[in-house]
Amino acid sequence: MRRFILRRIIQSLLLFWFVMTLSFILVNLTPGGPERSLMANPRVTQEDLDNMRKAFGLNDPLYVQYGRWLFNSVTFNFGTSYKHNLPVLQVIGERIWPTLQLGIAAYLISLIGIPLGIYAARHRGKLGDNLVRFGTVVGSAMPAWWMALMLIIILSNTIGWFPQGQGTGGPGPWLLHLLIPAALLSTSELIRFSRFVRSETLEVLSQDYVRTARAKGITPGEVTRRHVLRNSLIPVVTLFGSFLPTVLSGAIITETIFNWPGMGRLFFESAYARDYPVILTILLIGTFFTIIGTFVADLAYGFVDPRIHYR
Amino acid sequence: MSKVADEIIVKPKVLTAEERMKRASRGFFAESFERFFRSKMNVIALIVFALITVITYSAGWLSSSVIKFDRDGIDFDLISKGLQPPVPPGTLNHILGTDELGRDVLVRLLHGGQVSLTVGFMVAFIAVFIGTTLGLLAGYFGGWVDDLVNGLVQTILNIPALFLLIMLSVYFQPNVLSLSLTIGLLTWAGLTRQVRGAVMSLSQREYIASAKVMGASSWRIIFVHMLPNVVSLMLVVAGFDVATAILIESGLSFLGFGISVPVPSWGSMLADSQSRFTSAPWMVYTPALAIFVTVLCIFLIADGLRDAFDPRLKQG
Repeated sequence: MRRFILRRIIQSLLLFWFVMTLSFILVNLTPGGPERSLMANPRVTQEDLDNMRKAFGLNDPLYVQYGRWLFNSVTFNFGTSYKHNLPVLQVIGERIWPTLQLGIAAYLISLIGIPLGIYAARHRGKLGDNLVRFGTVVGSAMPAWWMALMLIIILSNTIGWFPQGQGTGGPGPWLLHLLIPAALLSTSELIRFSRFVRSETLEVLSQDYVRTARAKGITPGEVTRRHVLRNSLIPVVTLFGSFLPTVLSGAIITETIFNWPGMGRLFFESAYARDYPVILTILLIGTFFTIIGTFVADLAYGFVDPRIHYR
Repeated sequence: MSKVADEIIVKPKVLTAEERMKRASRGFFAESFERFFRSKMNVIALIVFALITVITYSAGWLSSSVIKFDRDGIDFDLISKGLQPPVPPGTLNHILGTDELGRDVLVRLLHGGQVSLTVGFMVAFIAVFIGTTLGLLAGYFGGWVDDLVNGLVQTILNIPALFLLIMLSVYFQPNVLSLSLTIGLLTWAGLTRQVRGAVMSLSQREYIASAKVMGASSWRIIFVHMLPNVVSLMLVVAGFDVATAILIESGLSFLGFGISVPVPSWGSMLADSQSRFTSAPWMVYTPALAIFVTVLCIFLIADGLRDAFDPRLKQG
């Protein structure tokens, strides 16, 4: 067990370094430097550009920049944003909490998929099952951003209000502003959860031990609770690992639509402005949490399923 | 007494020798496809999707000889007649109306569909090709090959894909080929894992061992004895990849990172019309409906294939 954890930590660190190096190379090898976005401004002279390149150390060879970036990142110094001229951590620090709120809310909402999936499996082929299956297929056949826009149109046409940015003044408006973007952000994961749980539950229901339990005369509710649920929910923990990257990616679009002051929108703005330090740091944070998520999911899998042995 | 006995006796269904032979003679694929076509929903979805594909791919011919409007051509007749584009459906031979520049919506919809579907097909091809190849290699050879492939899979799975796509689209003007390539290169990892798992369990089978004993080369075993076993997996994943790619493309278009103008895609048409929900709804709902119907059909087909190929559901 301890050996497994140690090995996974080393693997994760290597992976983290590899993904970050890849991102660094990709960002820095793109045609036109970070000054490309400044050149559109007629008041910026070549001299200004040269000064800027010098100030940010962009004239050094790439491997020197890479070494400096790697060393600074390890010591939690992520440099200065080109666009905001502030430390990157400060720029991101303001944006990270709103995204976390959105992500956690979306996560809680997507958990509804679990009871939905169980319900569908227990009533396989009946109306409830068909409704759930129909809903999940229809829900995933439309771009989420378009559904969000539709919702905004419907809301503004009927009650003349739709959420914009974060709610201020008390927990009521805050929740209201949070709920709608979070619900939209959670749709794809909610659908995935329900489909996954449905097929897992169906598989467990066909196992011999479930038949045995029924034959012993245990009530259907008790069979579901004690014999089916415990086994069908085991693989759900593996979904937690992949939840983070999906939410982070979805956040870019959701935050843009709802004007949410989060990290996704910051990334979007920074990509346009070619603000390399901010782009790289957001990628770093995203990758970090994704790797942690996978790691924790792997560990949790072993805890909830005694049949799994770590090697 | 005798009545009860009659009710209790259950006649087992005994197959005659002839029936048994008929059953055995049909292969796994024939049986699976038969099961697929038994569901009406699957058949309808397949027919609708085939129709959509044929119609969008004949967009060039349809627009030049049937509808007689160009993809990017602005209809100046509208302006000379004092009409302000966008005009609603049915105005001056514009069956689905025009957009704000006076371009025919139907023609653009057909061309856009060709672009969206091409992106979908190419992404599916690239992802399935890479995913299957690496999965077969990793599962069969194991050792350092497996470690290498696993590392690649982990890297892909741990990169937030949309972030990378946005970065690449900002710096390189995306076209159909480059966009398909980048999406495809980011979506193969899931299939690799599944193929690898399937191949690893196949390696334990006796028929693989006997093929080895008879002196079959590794390549022969991989292509002749293992590949057919993962074809069903490939088909299902390919279906989902086509649908996902169409949706991802639309998301990128919405953020302004899609395929460059003036080439239309369903995603970019949907994204460009987002401010016209009330002023020109035909510009909004036609691409929306096109995406919805197409993606729905693909999901239904892929779902149907998965059920048809799953041996555990045979009785169901």
